[in-house]
Formats: sequence, C-alpha cells, structure tokens
Amino acid sequence: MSNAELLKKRIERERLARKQAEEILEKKSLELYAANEKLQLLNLELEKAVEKRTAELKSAKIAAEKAQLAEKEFLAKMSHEIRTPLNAVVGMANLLHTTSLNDIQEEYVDDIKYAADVLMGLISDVLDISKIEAGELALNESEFDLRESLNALVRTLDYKARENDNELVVFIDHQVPELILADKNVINQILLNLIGNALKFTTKGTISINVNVLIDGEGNSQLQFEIIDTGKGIEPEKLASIFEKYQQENKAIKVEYGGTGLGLSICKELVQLHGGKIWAESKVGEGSTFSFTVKVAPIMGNKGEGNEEVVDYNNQLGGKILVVEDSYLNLKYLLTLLNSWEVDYDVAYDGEEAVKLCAKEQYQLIFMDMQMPKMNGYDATKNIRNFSVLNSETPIVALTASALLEDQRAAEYAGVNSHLIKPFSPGQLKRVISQYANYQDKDNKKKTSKQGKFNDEEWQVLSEYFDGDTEHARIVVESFMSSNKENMKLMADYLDNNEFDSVTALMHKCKPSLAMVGLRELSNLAAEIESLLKSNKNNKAIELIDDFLPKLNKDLPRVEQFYQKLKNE
Amino acid sequence: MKGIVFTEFFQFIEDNFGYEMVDELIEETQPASGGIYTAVGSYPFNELVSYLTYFCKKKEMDPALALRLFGHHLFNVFSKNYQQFFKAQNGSFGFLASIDNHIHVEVAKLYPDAELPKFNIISQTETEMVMHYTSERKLHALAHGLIEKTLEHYHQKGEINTQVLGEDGSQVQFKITLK
Ligand code: HEM
Repeated sequence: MSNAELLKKRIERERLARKQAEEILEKKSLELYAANEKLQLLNLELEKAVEKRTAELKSAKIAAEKAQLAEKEFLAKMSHEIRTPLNAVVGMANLLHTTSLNDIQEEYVDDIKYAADVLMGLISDVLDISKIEAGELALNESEFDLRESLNALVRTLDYKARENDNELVVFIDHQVPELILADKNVINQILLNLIGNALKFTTKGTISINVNVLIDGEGNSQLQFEIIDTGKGIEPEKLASIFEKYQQENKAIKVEYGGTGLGLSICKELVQLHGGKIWAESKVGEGSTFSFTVKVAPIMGNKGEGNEEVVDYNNQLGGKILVVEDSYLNLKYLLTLLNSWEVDYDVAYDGEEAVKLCAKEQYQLIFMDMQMPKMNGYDATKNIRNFSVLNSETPIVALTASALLEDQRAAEYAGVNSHLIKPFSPGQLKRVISQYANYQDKDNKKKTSKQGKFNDEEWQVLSEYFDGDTEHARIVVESFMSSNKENMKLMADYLDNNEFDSVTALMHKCKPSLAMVGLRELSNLAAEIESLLKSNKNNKAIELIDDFLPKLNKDLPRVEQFYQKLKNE
Repeated sequence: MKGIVFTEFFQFIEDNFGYEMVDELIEETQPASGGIYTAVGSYPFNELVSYLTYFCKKKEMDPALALRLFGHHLFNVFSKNYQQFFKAQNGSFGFLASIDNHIHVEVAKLYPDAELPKFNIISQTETEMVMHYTSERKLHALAHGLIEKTLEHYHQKGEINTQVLGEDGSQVQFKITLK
C-alpha cells in the first residue's frame, strides 16, 4: 500500500471521527442546554418558594402582632366589662345599706359587699400582674377599719378552712388603730394569698393571723402581720428562694404552691409597694410563719370629718352637678345618692352629650366616666377644658374603675382634677362633692341641726353607720336593747356550763351591733374575746369576760340615752 | 468502552510501529465501528480485544506485556491531562487509594456509560499496600502498567507482586512493597 493511499485512508478516518465527535458535541450541547433550562426553572421555583415563605412569615408576624394587640385590648376591655357589673353589685349593696335593715340583713349585705370587693380586688390583680412588674401599679390608699376588713376576709375563707378541718384565728393587738390609711386591696390580696397558702398546706390545724404595731426609731408606725400555720412546713432549700419570681429551678415550689407560681412574688412586690418587708420561717413537720410589714398612717379623729367641711359652705347660689356616665347601674347608684342628698344634677350618657350640656349650663362639678361610647371621658374632658366657655374651669372628677397610675395620668393629662375610683362608698362620694362643689347640703344641714343634741360619739356613730339616718339608727338601737338582756343571760348560762363555742358565737354576733350602738370599746373587747377563745386561750378570755359584763352594764344607760334622742327626732 | 482507550491505543501502536500497523489492525479485524473513534464516544470492548489478539499473534508478544506497555502510555496521557488528580496526593499509595473513591467516581459522573474497574484497598502501611482489582474486562495487566508508572511519577521505587485470584482473571491482587 502506498503512503499516499494510507494517508488518504487515515485522513478519511480522521474526518469521520471528527464528524462523529461533532455530532456527540452537538448532542451534549443540547443536553447541556436542556439541563440549564431545567436548572433555571428550578431556580425560579426556588426563588418563588422563598418569596412565598417570606411573605407567609411576614403575614404571620403581622397576625401575631395583631393578636397581641387584640389581646391587650381584650384585657383592657374585659377589665372594664367585669368591673362594671361588679361595681353595680357593690353599689347596690351600698344602697341596700342605706335602707332600714335589721342586724342579720345588715350582716348579709356586708358579706355580699365584701365578697364583691374581694372579687374586684382579685380581678384587678390578675389583670395588673404585668403592671406590677412594670412598676406601674399605684398605691390607692383610703381609710378603713382593719378589724372589720380582716374579719370579713376570714369569714370568706372560713368555708375553705373547714374543708381541711382547719381553724382560722385572728388576733389584732389593741394598739392597732381603729382606722388606718392604707391600700385595702393590696393588704387583702397579700393576706388572701398567704392565708390561702397556709390553708392549702395544713390539715386539722390552726392558722393564726396576728396583727401588731411596730414603732421604728423615728416614731413611724408599721403594722406587722403574721400568718402562722401548723402545716407540713417548707424545706430550707425551698424557703430561701420562695419569694423569687418563678424560675426553672423553682419548679418544685410551683408544683406545690399551684397556680401561676407568682403568688408569693406578687406578695413581695405588693409588700414593697406598701413600704414593707416580707419573710418566712418554717420547720418541716411543724409549720410555717409568713410575716410582712406595711407602712400605714393611723387616722385620728372621727370618720365624719368630710361632713363637717360641708357645713362651711358659703351660701352661694349652688349650681348643678353634671353626671356623665353610660352604665345604667352605676348611674342608678350615683343618682340615688344624689337624690337622697337633694343635690341638683344633670345627666349625660356619653361624652358628646356632656360637651353639649356644658355649652348651655355652668356646673359646679362634673363627674366623668372615662370609658363611654361615642366620645370617651378623656376626649370629653379635653373638649370641655379647651372649648367650653362656661365650664373650662369647672372641677372634673374622673369616675374610673382603674387603679392604675398610667390610666390616672392619662386622665389628668386630659384635664381632670381628681379621681373617684369605683366602687366608691357614699361617704367617699360625699367628700368629693364637698371638696369641690359649692352647694347647699340640705341633708347635712338637717343633720347639723341634729348634732346639737347628739354628743360627739353618738354623732360619729350616726354618720358612720347610718349616714345620718336616725330612723335606721333607732331601729338598730331598739333591737339591740331588746335582745341585750337575753344575750347576757345566755352568756351567763354558757359560762356556767363551760360551753365556750357558744360564747364564741355570741361574741361574734354581738360585735357589730355593739359598735353600731356606740359601744366601740366593747365591740373590740368582744372581738378579742372571740379570737382568744378560738385559739383556746380560755383563761385569758374569761378574764376579759369578767371585765366585759360590768362594763356593758355601766354603758347601757348611755345607749338608753342615745335611744331617747333618736326617738325624739 | 470509552473512545479515549481506543484513540490512545492506536496512538500507542502508531508511536511504536507506525500508522501501517494501525491500518492493518483495522483492515484485518473489520470492527463494527470501522476503526473510527473519538475520545468522547463509546465503542464495543471486543474491538479492543480483537486488536490486541491480532497484534500479539503477529508480533509474538505476550498480551499481558502489551497491556503493561499500553498502561505506561496511558499513564503519561492521564498525568498530562489530569494534573489536579496527581497534585492532590503526595505519594503513590494515596493516589492509588484515590482512584476508586475519587478519580473513577468523577469519571463515572462525566461519562455515565464508562465501564470502570473496582479497586479495593485490603491493607496499607507506610511501605506496603495490598489492593484487589475486580473487572469483567480482565485488564489487570493494564492496571499493572499504570501502577508501575504511578510509582515512577512519585519518584518511589518498589516491587509489584501480582496474584490472580480465581480462574478467570477478573480478580487480581496487587501487593506493592516500597523500597
Ligand atoms: C487521573 C487518572 C485516571 C483517570 C482520569 C482514569 C480514567 C479512566 C477512564 C476514562 C477509563 C475508561 C473507562 C471505560 O472504558 O469505560 C479508565 C479505565 C481503567 N482505569 Fe483508570 N483512570 C485513571 C487512573 C488509573 C490508574 C492509576 C489505574 C491503575 C491502578 C487505573 C485503572 C484503570 C483500568 C484497569 C481501566 C480499564 C477498565 C477496566 O479494567 O475495567 N486508572 N480509567
């Protein structure tokens, strides 16, 4: 084979191979192109998926934020919605109080009112937990009778105590003043919490509640409360961190103490809010003592002070009071009181109406509910302050169901002068009116003329318990006198037969009526006897009873005198 | 079998015996492909067997030796074209171990129709390595040649001991001892 021929063959083979290679290349290119396309499509899908997911996340976030906001609004609204009917319960109970009731009815009404109060306090506290933590809860101090309030609290817990065969014993030292200035809700909530815990961990035992006065170096007085149980006690490791906010390592405490596990830490916050300290001591198997102190101011003088201010009114032509309130029941309560005091008023059912009325008439005082339809109290107040010619200077008192500093500040910012926190008592309302309004308190005038006859003590009783209603007072005193003789005879019999339980019950029954006929000292003595007997300190109790009977006999003529004066009214 | 094996085989024959020998192999064995190969295509394995058989008969050469020599040639092509695989290792044992778990894996990815042998490393010390070759194509002699050149590439000297496992030569043990 010639070289040329071979070369030709070779070239032909190379040519064919190249063609083959080109075909393969072309096929590969096409495959590559298709793969590329697919990849791009995939990429696009991926991008879309990512975009979609991002959008979903975004809307989920917005939804969550909305839900959070809705929750906040719901809480605020619920707080209002729950408080409103509860206010009505309290208000109606107050109204019932102003009618003629016998002892038992009175006690029942007190119980209703007290239970509603406790409920109100609880609701507020549940709703305000976050506020406590943010330091936004304001102390809402008012005068109250600690003995009354503590006994009522114990009454509501009695049923719970009996479930575990427990006994609740209250001892209030006689140095504790009759009236104190403190936040009743706060103190009640602390007590409710601590007594509730004590009851939970004690069976067939005694829970003693002691109240004493502590005087510090600067002469400031503090109240010290002790809640002593005979329960199972708390181990030292747990005791150390028992007031700390619920943490992971405190699980055991949470499990044992139930609920949110926040109870004791709330107590601590509340005690601190009230300028005090809280601590606990315990021995496993023997029981625990929870103690706390609160700063309180004792109230001197009589409870009726507010009424006397009214007397000082210069006798200007009194204008009307404007009541702005949308809740029917609250309104009914308020108007009933105003009517009974013969105070002139106009009513507006929402902010808009209030603004309209303010354009027509000058008022002495405006009571403004803060949460109302159409125009709320904040806006109405601003409007009146800024635009009303007649009422831009008129005192406006906010009627609010909120004890929160934040809400109060908002109201003040809008231009209100002060706050009346629902539920309020007739006395509180009257005091506010007398503070701001220049009206002729006819009711009080009437009473003022009466005071001439009554001595200070009687007058105090009259205004405190009967709101000046002499008819009501007469019935109560009369029934006291008619039952007293028999009660004393019963007492002697019980003592002869060593029936101490019956003596305890009798003391309990006498306590309120003694106070209401003006024998406050004896009422306190009865309370002390009752609590001594409950803690089985019978000898000490008998000593006091020996005091009690002659004292009562000595004081009876005073009651008789009081009765005569009432009868002559 | 991948075209590169054919094109390089022809190159190997041409380098040593001239293109006439290549032409003769094609003309005498009459392959289905017509002897026309491109590196990236795939062709019947038996065409390679036919060439080898004819060639060894004609030249009275041991086919194993021919394959070993072809292995030497093929190694030079690989080491020129796929430098990265060699640089990745700093000794022949490491490189040989990487054929099965890396190099041929990449080859299979690039050419899904490639028919590759299996190399199992049985044992390995600093100086001795035992590996098993398994392939239906029974080209262990080619592997032998490639291994020889691998040692040379990493400037290592050693002894390659071959032991056929079983009858048909599809499984062969290489024991490489470095000096
Ligand atoms: C960078 C280095 C290497 C590359 C790129 C490479 C690539 C390839 C390719 C493309 C084939 C053809 C597959 C087919 O025909 O379908 C092949 C076959 C083969 N390779 Fe490698 N290889 C390399 C190194 C080695 C080494 C070092 C050895 C020896 C230990 C080896 C042993 C073999 C054997 C024996 C075959 C023939 C097929 C068989 O026996 O079944 N290769 N290799």
